Amino acid sequence: MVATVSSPPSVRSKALDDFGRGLRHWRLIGRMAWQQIRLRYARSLLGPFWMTLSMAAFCLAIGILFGAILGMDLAAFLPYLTAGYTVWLLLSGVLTESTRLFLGWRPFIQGSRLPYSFYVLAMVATHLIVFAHNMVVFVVVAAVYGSGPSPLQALMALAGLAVITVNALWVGLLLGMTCARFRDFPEVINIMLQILFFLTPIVWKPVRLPDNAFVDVLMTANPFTHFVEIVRAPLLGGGASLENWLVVAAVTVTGGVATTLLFDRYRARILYWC
Amino acid sequence: MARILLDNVSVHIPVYDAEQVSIRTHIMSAATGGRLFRRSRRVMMVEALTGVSLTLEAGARVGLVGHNGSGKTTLLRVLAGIIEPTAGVAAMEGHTQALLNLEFGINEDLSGYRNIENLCLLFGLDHAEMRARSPEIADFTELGDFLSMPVRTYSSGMRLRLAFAAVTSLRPEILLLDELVGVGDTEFMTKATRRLRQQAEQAHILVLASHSEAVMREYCSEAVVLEQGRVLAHGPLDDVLRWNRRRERQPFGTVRDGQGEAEILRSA
Repeated sequence: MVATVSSPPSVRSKALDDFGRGLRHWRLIGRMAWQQIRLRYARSLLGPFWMTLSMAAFCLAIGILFGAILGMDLAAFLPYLTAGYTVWLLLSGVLTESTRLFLGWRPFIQGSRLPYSFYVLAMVATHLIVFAHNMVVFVVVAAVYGSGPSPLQALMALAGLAVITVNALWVGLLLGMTCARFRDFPEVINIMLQILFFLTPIVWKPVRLPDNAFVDVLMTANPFTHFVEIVRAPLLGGGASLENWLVVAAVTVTGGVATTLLFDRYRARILYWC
Repeated sequence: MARILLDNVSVHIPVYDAEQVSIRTHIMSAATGGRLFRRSRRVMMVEALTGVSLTLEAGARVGLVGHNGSGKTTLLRVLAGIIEPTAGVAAMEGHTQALLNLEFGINEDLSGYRNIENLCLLFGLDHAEMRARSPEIADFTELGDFLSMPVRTYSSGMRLRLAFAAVTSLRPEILLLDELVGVGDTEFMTKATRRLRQQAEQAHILVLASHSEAVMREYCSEAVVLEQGRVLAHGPLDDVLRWNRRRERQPFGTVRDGQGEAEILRSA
């Protein structure tokens, strides 16, 4: 079945045009994202708050480990951990689901003219809803330890979240396309995420060791470090550094441009790759 | 005014999982499937459609005839705008709805009623219009209490009722149906016929692919014969079906390349 035939596509960019058409379905996308999440937890007592519980359990376990065994100050560490881990779950969740994005929607893709961004937007909406559920853990922890953002800093954190969302759009489209065509990519992404979890300061705090420039470089070169910082730092009452924002900006622009070029070229073939 | 114009349209589809098969340069036509050729060592191409030119005016009720793999679904997808032609021009004027598979827009774990709402929204209706239309669509399906059950409990005939009701409720200017209407029972066929007749009455276009001659006689007034991605004939239903029957009785192995065949011209 086909969605209403729209006006002829703009000449500028198929990617932008595709997102334009996708965004017009924003209400339906939100509705479908909620339906998907509610269905996953249908007939369960806690419903979607099982996600919150799962996250709380992980943070509690790590917290006890680092606090009791390694003697870290929990008042400083737990808020840091929960904020960072919540953002990490958003980033890794988007990446993982993007690798199988279009394959999962095959009947829709083969049966309609819905823009590809529709599926990307639905995925991102789902993950933002999950993010909101997981943030409850940070809110509780921050309240318990009396640390948290000022209203201005909360806005900064939201700005960081907005930037992550924009990046999720090009990642979804690019990975969706590439992984439909080359079936090795999902595995590569999987392995990459496993390694990156440890290279990104989430369960450990960055300590600037003068004679360990290598770790320093690794951490800085890892874009995830910066994407996590732009939301976590303001949530903890601070602010992300200029370096963080520069890296994030560079990644956003590069990713956006690359995706636009590749999508414009290969969009007509995605249907056959799925 | 609804209108369909295809000018020398070709669609070549890359297939990535084809097994290692040696293809000679000229293959004898097989009874089913499109023409195959190899683009590179790992990528096989299927000539799903070749040089298809077709003009359909408002009020046309067209049946697509052809063996499995002759290009019927591909042609419908081109008309729906789902596939871009590899060559040639496809121009469709008018609001289009297509029912090409029964899984589109359907979430199996949701009830029939929820799915009707989702489908309306997917078709571009806003929330208010969706609330206005849903009861009418639900009534048309005649699924009764089953509308509260998850769709995974439905038979394919029930899914067809659901999908058909939703797709046709918008009275699209161009309606495309792929071989699915055969799944419905006689009672449903009668209801569907009435709806589809309205297509022509409102000067809309209907294109329907089917293997069943009975189905085609019910809904169509003209027919197009496809074979190996080429249009062999296009004309009034009875004439084309008779011509096609005669052609099929010819011995297997006759080289048919689409040229030199009697093309039935549309009567004015």
